[in-house]
Amino acid sequence: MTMTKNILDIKDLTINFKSDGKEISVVDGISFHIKAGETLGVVGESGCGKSVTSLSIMGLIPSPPGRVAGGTIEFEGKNLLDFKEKDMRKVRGNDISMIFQEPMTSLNPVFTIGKQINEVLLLHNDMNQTEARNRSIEMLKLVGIPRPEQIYSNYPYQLSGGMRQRVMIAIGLACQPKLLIADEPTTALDVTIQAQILNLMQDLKEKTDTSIMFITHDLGVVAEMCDRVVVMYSGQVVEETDVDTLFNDPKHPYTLGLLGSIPKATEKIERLYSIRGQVPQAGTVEKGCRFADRCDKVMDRCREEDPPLFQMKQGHQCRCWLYAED
Amino acid sequence: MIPILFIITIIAFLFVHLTPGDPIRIMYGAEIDQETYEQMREREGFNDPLVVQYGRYMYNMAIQGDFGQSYRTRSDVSEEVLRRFGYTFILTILSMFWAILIGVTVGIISATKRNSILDRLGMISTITALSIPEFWFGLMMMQIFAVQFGWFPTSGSGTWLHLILPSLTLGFGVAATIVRFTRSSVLEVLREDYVRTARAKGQKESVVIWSHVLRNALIPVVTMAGLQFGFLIGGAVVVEQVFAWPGLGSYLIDGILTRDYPVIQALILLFSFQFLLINLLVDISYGFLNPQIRYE
Repeated sequence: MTMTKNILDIKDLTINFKSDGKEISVVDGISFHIKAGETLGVVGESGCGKSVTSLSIMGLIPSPPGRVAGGTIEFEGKNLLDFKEKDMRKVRGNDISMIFQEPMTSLNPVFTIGKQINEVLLLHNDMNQTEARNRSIEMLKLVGIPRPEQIYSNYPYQLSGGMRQRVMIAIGLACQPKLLIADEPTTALDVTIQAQILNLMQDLKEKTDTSIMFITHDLGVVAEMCDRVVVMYSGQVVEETDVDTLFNDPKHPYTLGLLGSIPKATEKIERLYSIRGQVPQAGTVEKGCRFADRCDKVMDRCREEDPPLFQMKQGHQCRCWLYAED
Repeated sequence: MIPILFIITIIAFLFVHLTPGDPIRIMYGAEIDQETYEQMREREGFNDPLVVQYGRYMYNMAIQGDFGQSYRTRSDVSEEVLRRFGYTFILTILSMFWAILIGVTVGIISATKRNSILDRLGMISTITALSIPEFWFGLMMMQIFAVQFGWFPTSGSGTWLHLILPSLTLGFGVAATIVRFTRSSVLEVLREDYVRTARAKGQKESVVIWSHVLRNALIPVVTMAGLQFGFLIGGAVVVEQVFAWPGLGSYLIDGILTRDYPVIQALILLFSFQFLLINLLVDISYGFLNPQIRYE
């Protein structure tokens, strides 16, 4: 085992949402960890529970209808689920911060950029307005915003999507958090801006040594950004491994399917592979593997029993009956 | 604004002159003989064609700044309006103050404690407040707080205490509308991504609501409150009558009852002007609330 300690350790986390009087597990007993200084990719289709998981780390699950029904979220050895709201507020934006998918709507339209960065600084640091202002401008410079003094007093609508995401990153990193959760930070941006933002995040990570939980459905982004990857499907972790193994020796049929659906520049193919079917709605699969209906390698056993996570080699797990030893 | 006011003068003039009823007959009844009656009609110019009468009215008003004299009291309409305007002004402003204070507060509580008992209670109260006619509500207020408890004078004017009941009566209906509007607007803004951002910063929920949410949620509320001012001006007419408040409303009612054309015309024009002015102020206030409008 490596000597670096885990900054975040999630065990058996279950999150339920109430709909039509019925409670449905949107996240169903997931476990994973993030080491200090590491970037963990969390991959999966829309609705697989990755965003809900990230919100639960922040303690921001909309409740009702949602609630954490079981498990622990340990951050630096302390279970965040035991924290009172008041203590949780000291963690948010300070120890753990988050950037979101939609830069266009994630900034408050009626406040200046400066005010919105100052806000998080003043909440968690003992500084006055002038110090906050200087630090905010420094942060804007850090995230590569030109003319930071001018942008400081601009309003969000005066900035492009890419610029707004840079501002969000500035807000996220302003208090030097130990963990940054990035929930599809580049999905809403066009490709060139995407690359810029990814480079920026990679850069800042090296400078600040922040751990990153990078949520995405884009495996190209994973290859560029992440050290390890957790693949989620329908509220469960189906495969967990380091990024090299993910691309060179993937095990789970779902992961194989995801990789197969990336177009390759070197091959000429008639039709791009896609995983057939749709993600089952949370709570609809009663028994067996949740991926069974879409799986190319489905066996009888898959429809009967829910597969556990099988240990492949050091640090590589996969939830599939193909790898059962008996 | 000027063309609109011009059209309003035409409407007000026609409306007043085409209403059945004869100011001279109403004022003197059967006391005067036919000859005197004809003379008086001639003197007031009632025998001229309407167009001529309108032209004279516009000439006097626009060029001379003369709104005419009341048929009944022979006093200058503009002087009387000026004297009474202050009363109505303070009444409507105070009513609006109550309406916004109650409306925004209850609206926010309702939205943040959605579906709770407080919310239900708030929604039931607003429906009730909207359904009760003002004159009846005023009389009830008078009965309870003035007659039973004796906390406030029943009617009239003089001290600030005289103002409380009429302004509350008038503000209540508008407050109910503002509650409903604020509630839905806050609920909408609460779903916005930037609210989640504010929470993710570790901001207190109270600051999230009163600063991040409210600044955005109030933009449509301000428009609505502005439009409600028109309703308030109309309501003031009734409420002033109930509480014998010597404002423009009671002047208008007296004017209508005696077909006092100059009084009615001047007041309709004034009320319309106020309404337009408030709409303009609402537009200007957008700039303070929404930075995007300020710059464009």
